[in-house]
Amino acid sequence: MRTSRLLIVLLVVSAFLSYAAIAQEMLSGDEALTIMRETPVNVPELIEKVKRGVVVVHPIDISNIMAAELQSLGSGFVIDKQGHIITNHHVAGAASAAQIIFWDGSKARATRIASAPYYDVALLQLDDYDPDKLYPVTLGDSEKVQSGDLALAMGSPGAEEGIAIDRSNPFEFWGLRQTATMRVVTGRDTDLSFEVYWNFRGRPMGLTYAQNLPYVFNMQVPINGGNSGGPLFNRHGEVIGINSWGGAWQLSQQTNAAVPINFAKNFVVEVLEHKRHDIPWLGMHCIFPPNIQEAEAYTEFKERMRQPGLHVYGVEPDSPAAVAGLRIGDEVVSVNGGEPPIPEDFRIGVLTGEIGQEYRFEVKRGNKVFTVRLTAVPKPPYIHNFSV
Amino acid sequence: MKLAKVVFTALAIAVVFATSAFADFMAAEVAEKVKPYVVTIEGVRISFASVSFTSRQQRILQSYNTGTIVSKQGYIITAEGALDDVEAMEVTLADGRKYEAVPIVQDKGYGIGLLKIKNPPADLKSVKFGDPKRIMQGESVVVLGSAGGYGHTLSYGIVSAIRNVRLPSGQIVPGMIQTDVVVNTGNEGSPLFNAAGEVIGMQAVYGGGGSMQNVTFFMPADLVKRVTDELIDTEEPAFRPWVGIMPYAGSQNFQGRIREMSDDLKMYMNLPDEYWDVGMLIYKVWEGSPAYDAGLRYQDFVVKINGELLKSIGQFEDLVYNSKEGDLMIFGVIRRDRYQEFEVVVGNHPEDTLQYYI
Repeated sequence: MRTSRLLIVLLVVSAFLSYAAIAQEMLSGDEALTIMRETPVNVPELIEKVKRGVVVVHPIDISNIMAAELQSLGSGFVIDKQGHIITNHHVAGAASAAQIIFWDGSKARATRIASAPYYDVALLQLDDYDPDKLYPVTLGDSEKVQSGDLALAMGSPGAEEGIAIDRSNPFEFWGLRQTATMRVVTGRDTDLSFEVYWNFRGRPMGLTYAQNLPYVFNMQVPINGGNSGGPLFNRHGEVIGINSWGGAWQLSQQTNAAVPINFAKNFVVEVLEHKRHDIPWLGMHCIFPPNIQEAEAYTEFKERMRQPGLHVYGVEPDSPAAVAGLRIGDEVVSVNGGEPPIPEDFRIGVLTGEIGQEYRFEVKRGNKVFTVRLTAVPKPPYIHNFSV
Repeated sequence: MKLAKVVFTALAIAVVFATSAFADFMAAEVAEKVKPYVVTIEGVRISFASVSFTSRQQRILQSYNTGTIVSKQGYIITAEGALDDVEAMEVTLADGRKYEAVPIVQDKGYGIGLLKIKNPPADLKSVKFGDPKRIMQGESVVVLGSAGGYGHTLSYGIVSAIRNVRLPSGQIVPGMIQTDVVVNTGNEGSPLFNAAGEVIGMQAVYGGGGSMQNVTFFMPADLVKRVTDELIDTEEPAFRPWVGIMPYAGSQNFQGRIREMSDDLKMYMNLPDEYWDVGMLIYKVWEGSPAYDAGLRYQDFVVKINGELLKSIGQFEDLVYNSKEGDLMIFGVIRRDRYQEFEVVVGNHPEDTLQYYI
């Protein structure tokens, strides 16, 4: 009787262990993904696996040495043995170089080689490095992420006054290095990709970052100032996003956002291989008017972009839209012969589409209805607005 | 039969520890198990708020904190702030029973307050302390507390990191547990449980003074236990070693950072080459402290302690922190280009000092 009880316990334990082992092996295929989502994850092991790739990024502005001390602090991650590091544009975009503090506290200097404000991604290159001492992270596929997936954020949330850390290590004052936080991805959000900065009079300072992200990950994973640019890992230790915006400043808890890694990945590959990065573009304003500055108008258009009906609020000169003859006030009744399009979906469609892709618009102008054809071209680098 | 029982228990423990590493472990089970150890503490204060220039109104203020039962005699530990100017205290157990409590001692240095239930019931259970040395980064943890006065609120998360953090009193605590658990006002003093239902920490500091989300520091359980035992034994604030020195550490209020001595300052002090990269400048000495009695003064440059070179302020802090009352520390000091030695006897940190005296 007692032996049988013992046997049952042994069986249960071994079944549990073998189940975990089997689930570890079946990584490919959607069924395996579903099973994995239900399997518990060993967090300490996961952190041990990925933590060496996470770095602190402290931007240095060479042009203004006095301001260097006041620069912000962010996180980043090593992506290859050639010393490339990814962080946020709003961390290192304005600086020409950055000091990198590795997981073990050793320091190195890195130069910024490319920055994409429209994706909020910056690419750094270590000046001097030992490839054996670099532990690159694995980049995953952000398209496979679903709502409710576990996600682990690592980085160095900044320490403000009021929190006092060990003073023998001054860098600990700037950030709680190697902080790990874990919750779930709540879903995809298109709203948060329009980040508005308000000045001290309560006026918007401009819709600055990530204008060309089709969507961002909305997540519960707690991040704070200083986590920016840090990696967001999935349960296999692959990077699925870049932690970018925290909701703490809005007095809300756990409403944070991350840039999906696929956009950063494309950007980095194209910068390293072709020395440029192109975004499909038609040159028409159908989300916000080109000169939007008022908070009320911003809110109004943000609500309108979820309603069916594509209105042309403006046309960029020499763009495909201008060549096709679109004008302010036109209404696009259908795209490629479909239903009346929703501006938000249309924007995502163009951004995730190809360059050279053709769009057939049925346009209503006054009482006339006519058809025009537009071909997506690369977005010129001098365009910094919300034209699609 | 005995063997089978032992093996069974061992396996059960193994399973518990295996699952302790999982993010979605049974927080509910742990909560159910540890609920009897956690209490909500309601403190009542009387304030005289001025209504106009001439009249004042007496108001009753309530405060809520979380406590942990540490002995069957009814001793409860909580954050020291719960005992501030308190007129009356009431303790609510998990099953809803309420008892009157009296404040015993308030240890401002370590931030722990001790109170006692006046007539403790017979079925009171004392909590089990775990070993914080075994905590792993990423381990799942559970907090039970009275967030906003709502007793026995459950929240959970993972251990974000383990690092040295300073308490509001200025006392440095090595091995403080940083977690991403959600805590709110009223969670002060909340115990932190691991998956086995043992206390591994006590809520002590909010990250960023409360301006950051999900950055909370918990004092490690071994320190909490040591201080608690001392508080129960002596009913006096626990011993905190100090010598009474505030080291020069750059401008302390600049962005909250502390930097050590610059090369310019070293040049100005005309330091010999062998002491260029070591040493600590004394910024202030607390009057009446052991260092003051031994003769150490402002602008002395400490290069050696007990015959060994002093590399950083952190090392000095560690030396003081790890010494006992009455220990002798020999300070090798450069004063006006001359090397001198001073003998300092480590004393107890008084409570009325400013923050950064070590």
